[in-house]
Amino acid sequence: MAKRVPIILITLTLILAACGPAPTPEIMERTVEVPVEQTVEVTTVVEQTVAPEEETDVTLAYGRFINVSFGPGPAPFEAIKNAVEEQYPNIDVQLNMTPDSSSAWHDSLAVWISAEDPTVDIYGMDTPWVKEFGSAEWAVPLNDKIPEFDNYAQSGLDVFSHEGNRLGVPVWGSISGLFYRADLLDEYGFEPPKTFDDLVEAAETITADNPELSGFVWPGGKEESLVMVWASMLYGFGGRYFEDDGDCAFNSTEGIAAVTFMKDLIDSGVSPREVTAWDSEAARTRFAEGNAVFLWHNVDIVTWLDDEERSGIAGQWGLIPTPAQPGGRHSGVTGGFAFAINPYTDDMDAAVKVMRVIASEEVQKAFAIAWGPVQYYQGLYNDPEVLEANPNADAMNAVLDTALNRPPSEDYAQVSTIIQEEIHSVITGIKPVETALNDACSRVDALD
Amino acid sequence: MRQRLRLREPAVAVLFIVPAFIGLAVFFYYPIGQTMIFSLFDLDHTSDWLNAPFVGLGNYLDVMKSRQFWLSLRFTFLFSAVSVFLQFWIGLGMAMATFAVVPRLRGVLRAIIIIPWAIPQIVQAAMWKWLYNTDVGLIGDLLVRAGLVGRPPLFLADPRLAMGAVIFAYVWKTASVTSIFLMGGLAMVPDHLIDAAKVDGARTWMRFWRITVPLIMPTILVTLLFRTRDALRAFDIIYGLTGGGPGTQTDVLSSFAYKFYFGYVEYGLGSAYALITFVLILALSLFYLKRIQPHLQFRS
Amino acid sequence: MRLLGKQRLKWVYSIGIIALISLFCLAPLYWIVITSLKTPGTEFRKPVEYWPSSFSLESYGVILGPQFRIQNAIKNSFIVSSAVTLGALLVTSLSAYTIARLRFKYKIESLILIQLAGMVPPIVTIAPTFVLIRSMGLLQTLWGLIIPNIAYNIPIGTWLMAAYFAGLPTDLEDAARVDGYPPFSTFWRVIIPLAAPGLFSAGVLAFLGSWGEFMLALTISLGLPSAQTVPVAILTFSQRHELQWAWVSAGIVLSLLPVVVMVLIFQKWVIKGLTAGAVKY
Repeated sequence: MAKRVPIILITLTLILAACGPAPTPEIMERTVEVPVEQTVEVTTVVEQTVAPEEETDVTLAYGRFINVSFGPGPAPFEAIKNAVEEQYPNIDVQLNMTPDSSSAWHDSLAVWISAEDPTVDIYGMDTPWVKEFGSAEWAVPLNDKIPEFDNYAQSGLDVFSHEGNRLGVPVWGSISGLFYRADLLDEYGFEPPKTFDDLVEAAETITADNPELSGFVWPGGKEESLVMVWASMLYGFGGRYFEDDGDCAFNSTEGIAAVTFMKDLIDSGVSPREVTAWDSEAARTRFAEGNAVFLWHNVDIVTWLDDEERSGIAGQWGLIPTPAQPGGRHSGVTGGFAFAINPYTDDMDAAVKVMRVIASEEVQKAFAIAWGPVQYYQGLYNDPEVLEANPNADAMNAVLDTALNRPPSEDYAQVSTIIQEEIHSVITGIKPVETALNDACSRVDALD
Repeated sequence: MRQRLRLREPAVAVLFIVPAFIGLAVFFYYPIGQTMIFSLFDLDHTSDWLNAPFVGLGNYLDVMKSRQFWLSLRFTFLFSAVSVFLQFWIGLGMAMATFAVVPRLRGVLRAIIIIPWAIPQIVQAAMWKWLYNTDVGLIGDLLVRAGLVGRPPLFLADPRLAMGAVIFAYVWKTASVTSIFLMGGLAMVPDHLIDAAKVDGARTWMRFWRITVPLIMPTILVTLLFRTRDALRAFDIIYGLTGGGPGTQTDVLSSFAYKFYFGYVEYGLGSAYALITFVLILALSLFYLKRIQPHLQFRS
Repeated sequence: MRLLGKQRLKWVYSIGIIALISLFCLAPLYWIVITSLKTPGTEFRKPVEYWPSSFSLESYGVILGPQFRIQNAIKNSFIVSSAVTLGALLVTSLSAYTIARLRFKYKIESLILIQLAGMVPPIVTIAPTFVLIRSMGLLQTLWGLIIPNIAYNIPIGTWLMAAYFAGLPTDLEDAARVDGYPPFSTFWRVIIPLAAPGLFSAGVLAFLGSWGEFMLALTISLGLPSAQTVPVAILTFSQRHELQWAWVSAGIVLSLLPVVVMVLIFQKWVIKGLTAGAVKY
């Protein structure tokens, strides 16, 4: 025992001596001689290890139409996915489908954003929500994030701006107008109607002879589209949303005349009673199948009304601005959608990248081919492919300068509900016109 | 040994009941308090009351001035009164039917009756939407075939019909529950009394009114209380079936207030509506309980 | 002979009653099932078809397929309801025991507190609960649904179990006490086994109650698929695909099957549970 200890101790000491640092002046001199170039190499190595980026998801929230294409190209969502795949292969774009109805869609967004939920990174925004979302700071300002904005018509970008902040990348815009059966009007010797009285006269005469046809179809269901129809009637009869002092003017004499007209359309049978349950799709189906004389609708359908596979009235229709009574204003109500960024997204960087892709010419063109006009990317409608997919795009020019926005309000969701409820209650016969409009005004004025 | 047990029992009692109290505190009493606080502030598109303007009773005044509120209040009462009335009679009928059938089939009938109760209310809303469909819904079609109407009515879009449609859909499920409650009460009626009455020559109606009803009166009263309370706070069926109906015809207080929270994101106003709903239900319940107290015997 | 005649009459009478009640209770279900078996698109054919002219299981395929994955929602519902049942039974049986049996100074007050909570309409508590769950980071999670639902079951569960406990004979407990068992042991070893039927009823009710709970599920899931339970899933289908009634019907049928089967199997307990509240007071 005693003999082993010294041996172990010696061995340990030798090992320690060999392992331990033995700085000598010689060695220190050598470390100083390391050339500068080596440090440069080190940094390039660092860059390479960062390049294969992390896989990340960006979730879009939009209604089912994003998976639908009305033209010869891929549906917008597919186009977005492909374009993102090319430019940023590490970003996977997912879709979260929102309800069809504009109000339900709005409420979904309201819930997500007030829940500060990061699941949805980019969401679709409807035109009238801009003021609300802007003042609640529910969309990230994009002003200096999207250089592609330079290629856009400013008017299109303004639609989705609030107090100077650009909140959305527009992908589709629309205006409403009046579609009519040119063949029937010719047959019975009518000119395309300039006033609502002309419209009713033509509708009544034609349907008297053809009772299976509907005179004038429009979306009268308790939906956002009802607000648009009402708006075009209100201004068409010479009314306006608000007085100069800001008070609600829905119940002015003109306003009452406009809504009375809407109710009379149904009571007199010029419009079938089912309109009170219809959305835009239901109304346009009726017209496109050849079962109606007049249709209130967004102009985008011009691109397929001549397609015999989808329309029963190819070559037999026309488009004019929405009629107006003397003293009124021909009004095409604007609509449209843009993509905005959720302020609570957990990957702002990736979201902005995807937004830039959406704002690119490639994707805007895909929207133009899949959904038809209007996109605001300049020069798009000179592109031969776009024109081929959208024949008759120039037919829309007739209505372009009748543009009218829906009532601007920070509480648009509530304003829209009020209008929907009151107008719907008139056309379904629950309330008299004046009472409903007075109620609508007192409710709107009561909002802050 | 005994001494130690006696001392521990109260402590154990407290221990056992504490989890329940915590649950109640966190998910009932704290939220009620917080909702009360929300109602005193102007909370537009935010729930951050610490940084929001204090408006005291301002929200409540807005509520009182709102016609929509009064309309939804009126419909809530109408909805509750009619649906409880229907539930009761249909439920009673079904409950009595279980005693009227051959004993071997009793279980089958009970199973049939209980099925509507099993289906979640919101799933029923989707169901009834299809049943009420104007073009090809079952209900409309049955009415047309029976010759009662010329064409299928617009159940959910016609304001005159929507109220009835919603009430009927609600009754379909709740008649089931009511029936079960009443079955329990009826089961307690001693057979010998019924048989004695039969022997005495009492006719069915008389038997029912003079003997059965007084005996099950406590059950009936408690059942009515529960059913009315549930009807007053109904939400699922309205939300799923009509979302408030054509115009605001079928908005009840709960569905109306919900829109303020999760549609318009106005926590202040929504809270005022919610609390008024609560106060109403509470007041009605207490009033009702006081009235029926003499008819019940409470276990001490 | 006379007896046979009377019996036969009673049978006919009974079948008649059952047919009538079935019409009321089951016709709507029949309609939904039939629609789900129709080839999508044909559900709008007129005249209305009470028996499909063209059978198809396509709708079920769609509902179970990648677009909808209703099995996800069903799985979530099962997880939530099972967890809620376990939690609720634990919490309510403990508190019910205190109220029904143990020496406790504040029994009446507790009962009042508990019953008062039961009177609260969900709309009153939903917003702060939402804010609370959000601040706990539990939005869109199943736990965010499970925990509140356990609490929501407390009023009914405690009432039921207390009524049940009160109805049990005291001799076993007294014997246990004499033998020196501490109260907790008495509870576990003596009462729980005795109370099995009551627990069963309360359990079934807790399961079904949390399965059908909608307002919280809608709010916590934010309408997004990751934490959807069956009721919310059905609502979102029917909202998003308003015209696809064959699909929606298939979804409804699948969502109903688990609960309807459960209720049919556990009828006895369900009825006992429901009536205990109304009858025993």
